[in-house]
Amino acid sequence: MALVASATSLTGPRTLVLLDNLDDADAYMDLWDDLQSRQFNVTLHDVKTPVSLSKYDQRLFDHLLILAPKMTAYPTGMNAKSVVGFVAEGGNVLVAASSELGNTIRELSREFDVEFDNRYTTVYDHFNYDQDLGKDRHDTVVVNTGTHLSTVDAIVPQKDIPGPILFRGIAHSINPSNSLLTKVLWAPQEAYSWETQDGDNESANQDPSVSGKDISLVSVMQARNNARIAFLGSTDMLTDRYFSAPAKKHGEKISPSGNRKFIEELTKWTFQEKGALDVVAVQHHKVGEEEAPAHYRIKDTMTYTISLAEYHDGEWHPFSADDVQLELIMLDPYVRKTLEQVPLDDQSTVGTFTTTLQLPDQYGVFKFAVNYKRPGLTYVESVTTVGIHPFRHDQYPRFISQAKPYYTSAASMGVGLLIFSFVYLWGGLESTVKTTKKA
Amino acid sequence: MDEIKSASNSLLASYVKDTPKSLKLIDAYMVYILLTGIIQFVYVVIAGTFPNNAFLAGFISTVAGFVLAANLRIQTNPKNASQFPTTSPERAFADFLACNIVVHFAVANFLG
Repeated sequence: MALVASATSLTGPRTLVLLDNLDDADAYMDLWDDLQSRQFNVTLHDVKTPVSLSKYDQRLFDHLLILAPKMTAYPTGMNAKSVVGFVAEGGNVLVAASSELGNTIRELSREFDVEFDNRYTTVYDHFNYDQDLGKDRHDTVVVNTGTHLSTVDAIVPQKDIPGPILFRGIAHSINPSNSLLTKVLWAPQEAYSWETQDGDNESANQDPSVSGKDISLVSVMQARNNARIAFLGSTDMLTDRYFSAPAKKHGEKISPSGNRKFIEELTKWTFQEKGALDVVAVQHHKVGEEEAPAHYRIKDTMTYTISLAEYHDGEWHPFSADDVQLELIMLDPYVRKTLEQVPLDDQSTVGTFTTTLQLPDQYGVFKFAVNYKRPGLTYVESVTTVGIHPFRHDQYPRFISQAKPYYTSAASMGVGLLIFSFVYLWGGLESTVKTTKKA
Repeated sequence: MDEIKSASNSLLASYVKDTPKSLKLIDAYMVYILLTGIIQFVYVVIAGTFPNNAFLAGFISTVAGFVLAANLRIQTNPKNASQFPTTSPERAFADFLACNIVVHFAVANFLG
């Protein structure tokens, strides 16, 4: 099962899929079709066959799809460290879990500040369950994309999802103080996470460990090296059955499920097919000049321009935003200014952001830094180091009208000295001076 | 009050009577320098310190002129003659001029 072509992913086509059992692959036929139509080179693997993510410190795969929730041990040749190392080298990982979650996945997710609920727990919702798939146990949750899907359009654009999303699986929570993590899909207010084996009508003598909107269903992380990791609490939501099932929620009309489009957008984001930014060019020069000078002088008026491109649909496109900021830093930011986007036209291949500003009245080695980090987009850090010189001795303004009293004073001191000396020497004071004796 | 009046009157009278003419000239010169310095200081309080170097140059020229004139006065005062056995008034005046030239070069350089 392989198809090699020019990848639409920015980082490469080689995808490793880990399955509990190769037979499980039949449940995800639509997913494989979708991935292969996007030119991914998919390799299916079960957890018993030895496989290695890298060889001679080179990644053998660009993307890792872990659809093996029950996994209790990594395949020979892989371990938690190698997966984390894979991410550190820029590999992307998508992890799907289920109620029968093994410790391996749990420990892996902890590395990324994602905590799955206990084994054999499931997200239940007695209000928002699907009337077909969750008929008996109310464990298939229908999630409204308008209210429970992240508004970060760079990851999954809300308006493109045709219907509600069906979810059956385990809850997880993310560390809210970790700014690299973004919640993509979360549970309805009425949902809760509870044990799967509901014994003999056991009395609920304890609260569910997590409930309502605190339950994350899908979360993503973009590491500092721009590697992307997605966590899904459900393997079912990737299956053909959930892709094609209509969402039937009590009291609402039947609509097609948005799963297929949602997973498509999520995998596109995770596997670097969109939302990737690149700094194409950085230019700066004094106003009225074209070339970057060797150094600036304090209080110079200068123009800074940065060009950014965004990758999606297999091509680089101009990037648009209204919140790109420039900072002039020497230990502290001396100037922080929002860059204005030059209007795009048909010929534009990059988004150009520019501003004209006056340099601070402070000399030293400054950094012109654009530090643009937004959820769902590649982190942009562009730093240009420039020297800002003070005025040379002959560059200061002369004959300032405000300083005229001082000039007059200095001149009058000189004239006064002349007059005084003249009078003192030849003003007829000789007699008194002569009264003093000589040494 | 009357005592103060009579005291200041006698002070003035003895100043007019006993002080040599050359010292009176130096005194007048110093009053002139003092007034120039005060005017500049009032101006800088009102108009602000920009340009600071010009203010410093102008103000320092008055301060230095004042100090040098005071020195000249001390050294040429006949009453202090015993303290300056080796300094003739001519020598004192030459020192005064030399120092003033240095001060005015420095001031002109710093004035901007």
